[in-house]
Formats: sequence, structure tokens, C-alpha cells
Amino acid sequence: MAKRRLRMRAPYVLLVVFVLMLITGLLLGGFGKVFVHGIVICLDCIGLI
Amino acid sequence: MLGTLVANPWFAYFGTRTIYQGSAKGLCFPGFNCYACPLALFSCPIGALQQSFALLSPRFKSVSASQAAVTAVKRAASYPVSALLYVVGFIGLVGVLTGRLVCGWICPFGFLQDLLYKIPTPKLGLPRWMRFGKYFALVVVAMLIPYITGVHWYSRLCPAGSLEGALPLKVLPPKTPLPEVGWFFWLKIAILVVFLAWMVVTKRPFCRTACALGGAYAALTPFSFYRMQVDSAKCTSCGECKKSCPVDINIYENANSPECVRCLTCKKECPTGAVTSGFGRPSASSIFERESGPPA
Repeated sequence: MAKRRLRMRAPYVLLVVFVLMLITGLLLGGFGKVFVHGIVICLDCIGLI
Repeated sequence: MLGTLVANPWFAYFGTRTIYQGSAKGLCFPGFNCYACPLALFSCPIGALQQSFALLSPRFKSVSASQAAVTAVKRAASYPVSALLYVVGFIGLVGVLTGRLVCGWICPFGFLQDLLYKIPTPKLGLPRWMRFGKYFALVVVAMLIPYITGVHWYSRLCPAGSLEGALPLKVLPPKTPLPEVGWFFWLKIAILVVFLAWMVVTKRPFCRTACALGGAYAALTPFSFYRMQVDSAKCTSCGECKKSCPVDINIYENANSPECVRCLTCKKECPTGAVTSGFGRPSASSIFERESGPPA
């Protein structure tokens, strides 16, 4: 019964966890870091070496 | 097709020969699309995930090839864990809401694989154990190795990156001079050629064996709010669903299989209309168990 209840709640728990991670990451400046990776480091990973 | 255009609309590159540097590059595209592609508008979530782990690595500074890039990232990195939280939160949210719907509908590399498989040649199946490759790619190659080495090795070897990034930039180089082609470039091209040849004879081999993003979404598919359902009273186990399935699964054996890319071809092809789909509350029995099966 407890296992069943846990299974029922798992998607909602995951949803809350991921939303919180996303918001925390954005508030701490994650967007800016992904932006920097996107415009600078993508040229580094082309592998023309 | 539409997904490919949405991810890669920067046609100004042909005139300016400069990759897009606007704020949309801070957003991740939910599908597998190389952000080194000259036409790319968004970042690749797996590229960003690797960079997040590399940024946390103690070896990040010493091994990265571009010192300018390292300096720029370090300057922006007052909270190094923020990129990781943002990217994992983004991938997790897409995964828990839709499962692998993205793989079936908007992934440019998945679209290419579907096209190549249409070439009439003798076809090959895929051993069952190979499906674990995508989880290995996610955990070891895209997370653990970048953390240990400080280098994003998955991106460097990625066939989608070679096709969408390395080759177009070699043919139409940007204003910024690029390093000379060396053995590593040819290694990448060899990996790409192997996968392209495999795509002609096997259904979506990259998605099923090596896609780290597909691995992340697959792990969340049993929990996702977008569900497939098979009405066991209507299902006759005729196998039409498997024949049309791009990842070769029997939907009636496990309606929410981690392999299912939610392309909905089975729904269209089912002669009895037994397959349905939509957003709903996942039931307890559908998580890690078979939601439905063929009639006894």
C-alpha cells in the first residue's frame, strides 16, 4: 500500500523537484552561464584539431 | 521538419558568417540539436549539461582548449552549480511532462534517422542490450567524464555535432578563424559515417543506443504526464503497431515503454483504434509495470 502510494506521488514529486531546480538555477545565474557556453564554447567543441 | 527549422533559423549566417550570439543561446532546445551549427538559435541541453559538469571540475581550467572561453565562463560563474541546476531542471521538466515526445516530434537528428531508414535496403534489428548504451552515454560520457576531465567529450565525439556543426563550419567557415583540421576531426567524421550507414539499415540506432538526451527522457518516461494507452478489449495483437514503429516496440506489451518516442504512428496505424494518448495522471500500476497487454 505504501509502495503504491509512493508510486502515485513520484511524478508529482519529480515535477516539483525539477521546477524548483530550474527556478533556482535561473535565479543564481544559470541562464547567463549557458549563454556563455552557447556563444563561446560551441566553437571549441567543433573538433577541428 | 518544423522542429529542425525552429531550432536552426539563423539564416543571417550566410551573409554575416557569424554564429548567433543573442540571448536565445541561453535557452536550451528540448531536442538534440548542436549549438555549434551555424544556423542554431538555442543551446543543446546535453552540451550545456556537460559544460555544467566541466565547470565544476577541478581540472576545467587546465585542460580546456580555449583559454578565452575559460576566462569568459569563469567570469560568469559566480555560482558554478547554477548552470547544472538550470539544465537538469529543464531536461527533467520536459521529461516528466512529455516523456520522449520530443524525440518523436521535434528532434532534428531523429527526423534524419527516419528519413535515412526509408532508403530501400535489407534491414537489421537491434540487440536488446544495446538500448542501455544511451544511459551509459548520459551518466558516464556526458556527466562523469566531463566532471573528471573538465572536457565535454560527448560533444566532441557527437555525430550530430559533426553533421550540424563541424562539417557546415568547415564548408562555410565563420569570420573567426578556426583551428586546422587534424586527426580528431577525421575521427569525428568516421563516427558520423558509421552512424549514418547504420541509420539506413536499422530504425533510429542513435536514439536507441547512444543519445544521452534520449536516455534522460527515457528514464523519465514511466513517470511522465503524457501517456500512451492500449485498450486491451480492442487490441488483437496484429502487430501493425510494431511494423510502423520507428523504434521497433510492441506498444501493447508496454504502453509506456522507455523506448517509445511518442511519435503516435501506432495510434494512426492501429486498425481497431486501440491505441490512445494524452495528458493525464499517471496511475500507480503504470509506473514500472505494464499498463496494458494483449487480450488473453
